[in-house]
Amino acid sequence: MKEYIGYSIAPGLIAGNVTLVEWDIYKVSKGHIKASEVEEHIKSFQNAVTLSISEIDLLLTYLETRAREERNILQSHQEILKDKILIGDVAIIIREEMKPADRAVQEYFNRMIDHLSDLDDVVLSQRKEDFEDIKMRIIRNMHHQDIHIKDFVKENKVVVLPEIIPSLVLSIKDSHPLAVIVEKGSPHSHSAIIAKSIGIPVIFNIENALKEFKENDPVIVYGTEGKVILEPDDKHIKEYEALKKSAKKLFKEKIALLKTPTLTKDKTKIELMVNIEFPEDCEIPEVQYIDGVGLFRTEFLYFMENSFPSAENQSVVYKQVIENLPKGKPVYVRTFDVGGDKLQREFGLHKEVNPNLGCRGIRFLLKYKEIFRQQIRGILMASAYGNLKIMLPMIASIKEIIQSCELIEEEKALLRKKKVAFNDKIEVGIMIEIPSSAILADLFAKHADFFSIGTNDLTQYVLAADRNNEALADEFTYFDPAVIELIRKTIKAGKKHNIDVTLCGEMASDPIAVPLLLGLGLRSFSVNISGIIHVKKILSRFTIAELENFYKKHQSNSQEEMQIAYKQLIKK
Amino acid sequence: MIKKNVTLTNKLGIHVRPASLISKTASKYKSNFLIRKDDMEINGKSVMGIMMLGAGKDTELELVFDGVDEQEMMEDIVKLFEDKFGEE
Repeated sequence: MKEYIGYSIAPGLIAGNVTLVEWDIYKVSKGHIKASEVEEHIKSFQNAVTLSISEIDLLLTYLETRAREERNILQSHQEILKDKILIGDVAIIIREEMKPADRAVQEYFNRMIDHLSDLDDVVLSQRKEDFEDIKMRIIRNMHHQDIHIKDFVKENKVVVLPEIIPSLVLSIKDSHPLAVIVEKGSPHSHSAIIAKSIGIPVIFNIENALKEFKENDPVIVYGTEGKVILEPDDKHIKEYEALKKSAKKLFKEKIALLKTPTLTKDKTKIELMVNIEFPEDCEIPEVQYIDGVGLFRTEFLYFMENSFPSAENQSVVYKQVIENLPKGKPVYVRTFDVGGDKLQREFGLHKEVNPNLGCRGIRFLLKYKEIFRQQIRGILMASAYGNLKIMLPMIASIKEIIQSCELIEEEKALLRKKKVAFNDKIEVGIMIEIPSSAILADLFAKHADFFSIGTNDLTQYVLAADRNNEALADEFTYFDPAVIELIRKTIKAGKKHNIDVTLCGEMASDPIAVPLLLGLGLRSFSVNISGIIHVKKILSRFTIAELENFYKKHQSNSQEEMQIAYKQLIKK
Repeated sequence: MIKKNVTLTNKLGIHVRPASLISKTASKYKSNFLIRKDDMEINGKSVMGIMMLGAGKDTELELVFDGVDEQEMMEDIVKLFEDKFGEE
C-alpha cells in the first residue's frame, strides 16, 4: 500500500487497474538542420505560435462563464506570444544556429529561465513558471498533430500519463477509461480546465507515477481529494466500498430531485434549461433531466480548428447535441458570436479600438455571408433530427432580423432543391442584449419567434460598463433598475405577442436574482450546469404572487437596495 | 529625448502582467522606448524584453523616451509605475 497526493482536477471515486501510457510530447529534436530546411522550420514555429494564440482564445471564451480570475494570466501569455522580439529571436536561433524549430524554442526559453533563476529572487524566479508554460504550449502545438490518443488509452482502466494535452482531453473519454492520472500538470493549465468536464475522476501531479506503478496494479482514485492509493489493503477497500455506497445514495437523491417537475411553491411550471459550450456537456447527468439547451454557444467550432467548419461538419456537431439529449428537447443554437478582434488577420479587418462595440455577432455574420450561410445550412440539416432553433446574437435593428431570415429562406430553398430533409418550421429568434431591441421589444417581437435575454451584454451596454473590467464589476450589475426595467419590458412584450422569452445570461444562475426574475414574469431560465440544482431548489420556495408583490414593493429601489432586499429574501 | 528614473514599489516587481501592461501601453505611441537597468538595456515595447530585466521590488530603472510623442508616452508609462500597475 502506498498513498500519493496530487491536485484534484475532476471529482469522483473509482477503483480499478492502471494502464501506463508513455510518450514524451515535449522531447525536442537533436542535431542541426540543413540550410534548405530553415524556412520550413521557421514556418512551423510561426504556425505553432498562431495555434497557441487561438488555443488561448478558446480557453478565454470557455473561462468567461467559469473562472474569471484565470483570464488575466492567460491574456498576458497571449501578449508574450504576440511579441515580435520573441518571434524574431527564435527565428534567429533557427537561421543562425541551424537548430530545429522545437529545439530553438526550448533553448530560447531556457536561456530566459536561466537568466531569471540567476537573479536569486524567490518571487522573480517564480516567473519562470510562466515561461515554462508558454514554452510547453508552443512545443506541444508543434508536435501534437502526430499523436492519436486512441492508440494509448484502454477501456475500463485507470490511465496514467506523463502529461496531458488540452486538445486531446476531450477525445480521451471516447476510449472510456475509468479515471485519468497525470504525472505532471498544473491545476491552472488549459488541460485542467477542460478535464473538469469529462465526467470521470482526474488527478494531476502524481509524481513518479510512471516509475512506481506497474501495468495492471490495483488503485483507488479519490478524485475530490486528489488522492491515489496504490495496492490498497483490506482497510482501504472496505472504506472505499462504504464511501461508494453513500455516494450512490447522494447521487440518487440528486437524480430524484432532478426528475421532479420544476415548480414554484404554488405549482407554476417553470422551464429550466441549460447553457452549454461543447456537445459533450450534454452527457453530464444533470443535463439529462432538464427541459432543454437554452443556449448552445458555437464559437468553439471556430477556435478548435482556427477556421469555420463546413455546413456538413457543423451539422454532425448539432446532431450530436440532439442525440445526447432526451428526445424532443429544444436546443437553441446561437450562431457565431465572434468579433473582428479575434479574426483580424484572417479577414483583413481593421483593428477595432473597441471590439465590443464593433463588428461582432450578427454584424460579422451579415458581412461575411458565406460563413453565416454555412452555419444556417448546418443547423437546417440537423434540424430534421430534433427540435433545433436558430438564435441570432447582437441584434440591434429589425433590418438585421429580416436580412437573416432572407438568408435562412434561401438556404431552405437550396436544401429543398437538393432534397435534403430539414424542419421547415424551424423557429428563428433573437438575443435581447443590445438596449435598442429591449426598448422596442414590442416591435421586435413581431419579427422573432422567441426572445432570449443575455444579461451580461445587456448590462454592459445599458450602463456603458465593460464587462471584463474588474474595477467596475461590483458597481455595475444586472440589479440596476434600468437593466431590470428593460428585462421587464422584454418579458411583457413576449407575453403580449405570445412568443417564448428565456433568460440565458449569468443572472439566471444567480440565486439572488431568480426570485426577482420570477416576480418580473419570467417563466423560462437557461442556467449554467453547476446552477441547475440551486435554481431548482430556490424556485420551489416561493409563490408567484408573493414574488410579484415583493417586486412591486421594491421596484423603485436603487441597485444596492435591490441586491440587499433579495439577499435577505432568500436567506429567510 | 526624455530620461526618467523610477523605482519599483509594488510587491511583486515586474512579472508577466505588468510587463504586458507596459509593452501594450508603450506600443500605443510612435516614440522609441528603452528601459535600462544596471548595464542592461531593452526595448520597452517588448514583453519578453521587459521580463528579461528581472526587475523585483525596489529596483531602480531608467526609462528613455525618444520621438514625436515622447512627452505623452512618458506621462502614461510613469503613471503605470506610480499606480503600482494596479496591484495591492
